[in-house]
Amino acid sequence: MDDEIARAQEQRRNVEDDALAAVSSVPFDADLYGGVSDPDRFAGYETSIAATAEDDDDDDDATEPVNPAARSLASYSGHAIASSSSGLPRAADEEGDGLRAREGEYHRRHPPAPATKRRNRWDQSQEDEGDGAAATGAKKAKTASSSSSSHWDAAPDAATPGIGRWDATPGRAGGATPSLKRNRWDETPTPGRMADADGTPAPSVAWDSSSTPTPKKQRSRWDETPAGVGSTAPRATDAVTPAGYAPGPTPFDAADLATPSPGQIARGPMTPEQYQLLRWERDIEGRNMPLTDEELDTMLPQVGYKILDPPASYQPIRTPARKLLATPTPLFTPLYAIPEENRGQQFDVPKELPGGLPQMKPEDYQYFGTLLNEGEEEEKLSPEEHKERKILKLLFKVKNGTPQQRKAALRQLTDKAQEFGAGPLFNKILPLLMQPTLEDQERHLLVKVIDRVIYKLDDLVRPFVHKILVVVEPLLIDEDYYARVEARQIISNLSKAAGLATMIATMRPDIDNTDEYVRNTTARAFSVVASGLGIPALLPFLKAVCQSKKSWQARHTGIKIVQQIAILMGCAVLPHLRSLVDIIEHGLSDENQKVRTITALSLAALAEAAAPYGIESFDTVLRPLWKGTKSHRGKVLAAFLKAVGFIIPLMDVEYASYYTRGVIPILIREFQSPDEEMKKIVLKVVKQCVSTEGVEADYIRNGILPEFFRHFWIRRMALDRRNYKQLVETTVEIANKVGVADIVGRIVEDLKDESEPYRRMVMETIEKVVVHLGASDIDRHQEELLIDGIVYTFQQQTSDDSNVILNGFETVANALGQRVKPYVPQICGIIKWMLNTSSAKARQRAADLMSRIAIVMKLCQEERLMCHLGHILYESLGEEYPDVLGSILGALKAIVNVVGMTKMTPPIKDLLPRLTPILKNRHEKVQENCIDLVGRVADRGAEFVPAREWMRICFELLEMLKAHKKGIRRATVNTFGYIAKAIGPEDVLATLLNNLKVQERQNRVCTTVAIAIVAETCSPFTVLPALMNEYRVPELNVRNGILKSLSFLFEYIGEMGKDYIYAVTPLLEDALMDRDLVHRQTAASAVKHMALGVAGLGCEDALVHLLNLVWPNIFETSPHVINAVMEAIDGMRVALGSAVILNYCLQGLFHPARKVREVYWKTYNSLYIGAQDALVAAYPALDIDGNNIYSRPELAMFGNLIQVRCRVLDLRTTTRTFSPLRMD
Amino acid sequence: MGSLRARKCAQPMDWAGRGSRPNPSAIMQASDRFNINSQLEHLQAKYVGTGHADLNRFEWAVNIQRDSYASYIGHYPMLAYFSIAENESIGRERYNFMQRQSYR
Repeated sequence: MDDEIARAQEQRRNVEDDALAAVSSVPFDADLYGGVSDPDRFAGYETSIAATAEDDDDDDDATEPVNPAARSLASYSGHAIASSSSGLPRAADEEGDGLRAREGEYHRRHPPAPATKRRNRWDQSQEDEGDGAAATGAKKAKTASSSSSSHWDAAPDAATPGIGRWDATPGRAGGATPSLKRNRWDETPTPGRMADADGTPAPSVAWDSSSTPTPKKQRSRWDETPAGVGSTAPRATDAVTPAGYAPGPTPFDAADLATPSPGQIARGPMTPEQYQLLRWERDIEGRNMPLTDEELDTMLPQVGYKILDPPASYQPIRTPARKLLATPTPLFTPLYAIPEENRGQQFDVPKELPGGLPQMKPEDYQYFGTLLNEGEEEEKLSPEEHKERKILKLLFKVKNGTPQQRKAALRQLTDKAQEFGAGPLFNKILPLLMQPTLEDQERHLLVKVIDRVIYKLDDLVRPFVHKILVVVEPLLIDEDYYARVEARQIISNLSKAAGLATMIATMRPDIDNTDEYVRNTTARAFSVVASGLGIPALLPFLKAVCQSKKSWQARHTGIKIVQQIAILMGCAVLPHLRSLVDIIEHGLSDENQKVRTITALSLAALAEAAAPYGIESFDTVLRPLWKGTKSHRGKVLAAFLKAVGFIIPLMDVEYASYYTRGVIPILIREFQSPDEEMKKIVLKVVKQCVSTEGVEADYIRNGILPEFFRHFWIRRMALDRRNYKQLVETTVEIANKVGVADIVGRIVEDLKDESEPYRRMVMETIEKVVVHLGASDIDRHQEELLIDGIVYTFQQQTSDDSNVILNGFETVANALGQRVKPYVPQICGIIKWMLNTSSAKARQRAADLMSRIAIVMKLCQEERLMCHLGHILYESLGEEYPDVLGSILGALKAIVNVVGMTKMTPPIKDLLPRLTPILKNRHEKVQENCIDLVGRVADRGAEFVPAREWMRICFELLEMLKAHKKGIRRATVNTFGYIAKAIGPEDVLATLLNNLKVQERQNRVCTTVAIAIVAETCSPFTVLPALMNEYRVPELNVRNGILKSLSFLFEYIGEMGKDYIYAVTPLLEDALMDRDLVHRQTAASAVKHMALGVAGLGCEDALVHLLNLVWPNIFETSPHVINAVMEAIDGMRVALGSAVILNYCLQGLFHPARKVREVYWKTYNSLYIGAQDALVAAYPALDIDGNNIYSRPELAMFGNLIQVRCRVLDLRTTTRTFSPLRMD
Repeated sequence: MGSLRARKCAQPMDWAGRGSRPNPSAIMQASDRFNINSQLEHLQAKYVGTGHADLNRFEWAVNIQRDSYASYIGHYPMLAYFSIAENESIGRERYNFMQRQSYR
């Protein structure tokens, strides 16, 4: 294996070198896009970042060159950033730059492409950003978990998205930034990383690229270089990969390479799953490797054969799928030779590591490989190297070790942080953190390491602030919530350790970086610094940045920092609201459109964070905002509207209504905007405006509603989920103002629309409106239309994804109450008809509807109809689809509940026998509904069913105790109680006692609970004799079961236990002296419940006797046993008083044997915590010892105290002679 | 009452050269470490008046004394009783008990 790896690496190195030598051959189609052969072509481009970019203006142009790949790659990729974080030179450096630039050139020829998915993740996809702009944070938070995009913005309740397409800097706006000019981020190559990418213990043979998924993780621009390099050379020589074969997005399919091209590795950092896949592949490939010449030589005779050159036209089949077909395996092995034995071979078994290090995963080799050859060169290491080795080892333990190893290593790293020094530590940790193969857990651990190390190093960390930031900043916009939180934590601690000045000095250059990505992360990082060090500390700096004359980017970033602070800190901005607003207010009249937009968005974020306070801080911006809404168009207008929308709710009533009236015409004008973004914002602002107090219903009714419904209540709105939700919310808000009738009147006809999603949206709106406002405003005519529409919608429903229609039906029917009566026959007709359709879904829906409207039907006195439906449902009990059957049972249950046992048709005596076989059904929904129904009948109408039938059901119920769902088990156990009550406990008990013999623990436990419940419902005396008799069965499970039932029994019956305590004492006495631990444990818990139940009821004699038997068990070590014993003693403390227990304790508190003391002190402590005050009277009188007088003379004032104690002791001696009745 | 002592009175260390309490986890057996009992002992260790195997007679007696005085102070009828028995005002009794809490 090692040889192969070495060979593979060698080969790849060659390939790479070739590629580097011939920079001209680029991975894209050179013929088409000529000119690539000129390596000097991009010589003019800068190779270093100018932080103060003077040439940013090109950014402003919307039709600028587009570089979608670079854009998409700008999304974070761990190792890519790492590549910028260190000083290790990389071979591909200069050429890489050239290629990168070239790649940019290539992509620039593309028409502006739609943003890729990756880009969307952090940069807000189109739909996303719209939503972010328009939706509330809460809503976002919900969507965020499901979609890969915009996690960042979602979590901190971002009403303002980080970057919306529309607020974006020009580069973003077109989905691209002219990143010809590289920035600092691109520039520095990786420390460990670059070499690493190649150092992966690569699969030895050709990769099956078609089965290798395209790297799922983010790629970044920085990856691009090696990709190009890697795939060029092979392409030139033997590029046979059929283009059609490789799935689309992987243009350079290196399927035919014996070694994976470095590009393939480096392109996308591989996820751990991919490594898994590769591992497996390598295994398979290893077995199917082509024979080497040497092997052929040993197989074939030397003479008589001639080695031919392959014909010039021969192309080997590289695609694995065809390979399978191409080479038939010979059925026998001619001239087989036993292969040479190679003991040293490693079969994929990881090498045992020296020094108790944890196992090394293949992906760790590249980074921790040096640890493998530890022993050999230990002596030769310099002290520096030795230190590095030590750090590496500790990190490795943190990453892969067991919890103990990890803990120890972490502690060592922390303790020795100063000694190791910041340099060596961060040089090791940071590249590691950027490993693309890092799993979440490992990343978390490393973040923890950094955190603690930073804390320890304090200001020693300063020189590394930049490096750390470069690594950590991208995590701020990671899709994983925890990654973001951890990144924030690191940056916050870092700023505390390094100080504000260092942080500002370090991040200052990034503020006007041309790359939007850098500026975005920088803004977020600054907001974290602000939350760490306090907003006031940052204010002067922010002020300066926001007024920067040099570049609009700086102003943009500065204002964005304010926005991020608002999002991150929420209402904590309130004390500084005025200053923050002052700092950014001039941005509203900035000459740059982006700055104006972000300013408005920041104001919106501030207003949202401050709500409902702080309107006075916004005084200064109201005017410009107001003017802006009149003068701007398009995206800027959207941002301004958003700001106004968030500020209006903060205002006083009269101002709010004034502004609302002013803004409404603009909103109405923008109703017809085709821009999705604008639509969402408008909806949101309408909602905010309408909900303010000062707005009159009439004004809304006449001014807004007609246009609103004309433009928004269209089918297209129902198709996008976010639009849908926003529209429903806004409409409900409007309804709260104008009433049900108006809204329902406008949309009720749409219930018969032909688009189902639209119908669903209408239904959901009606439901929510009716829930809020009731149905009393709906007049006769509307009511008819409504029911008609709902029935139509219900019947026409085809999709099964939600309960919207059903819920709506239920809500409306319940709200209408008796007014539904005229329609009930029609509804029942439909249910009846649907129950007989062939579609299972329809049958299920019909049954569900029945169970939902049963109560309303009762209200309308339609019992006769319900009974009729009951018959039909009864006849459908043969249903084969379990989901449908469950619903039918649910409907029957609803009817039985409403109609009552006596009036029910079919009569209970017919219904129940039909249910018995259904109890056997293993489907959860069926089980649950069935047991509920049976339990209901057993509870209310047991007399309608013969006892024999109940017994049969009892047997079936035993099976139900195995159910996974707790609800089912609980219902079953309760049903046992009802049945026992109905037919007497004897038979049921016999069944249950027999069931104690089964093997499964869960089953037995449930049985004991059932026994206890039976005992409780039928009074203990009917059950106890049988129970105690059963205890004589010489079977461990049974006896334990009995004890457990006793424990439950005494728990349930509480005070009633005082009548039974003397009866069961002999049994418990026997159990407490049993050899079996579990026996004593269970008995102890029974004693506990008993003691707690009879506290204060005068059963002390029996309890003291039991305590004498429990007490010796305090020395048990098994956790469950000792726990039960301690609890029993605690119970005794409650029942007997703490003084008694103290007297037991005193014997051992100063026992010569430490083990004894420990146990006794533990008992004493729990006694002390339980009843500290009560112990005061019972403490022993201690003798005088030297100068110390221990007596408590005050107590001598109570003459009788001593006697009290004597009595207690007396009690103990008398109980020793308690002679219980033996059972046998 | 107990809670009064547990929360308010930090154990003064002047008299307690002997009172240094071993780390409860140190005296715990390895088998105990992960079970419920470790939680129990942790809970117990949070209260000042609880003891352990290395507590000596003196320390325990101090705890008893303090608990007693805390209890007397906490129960007004007790104070009243003592004040009658000693012919002191209730406030004086309370003050005396409080004083005895702190150094004795």
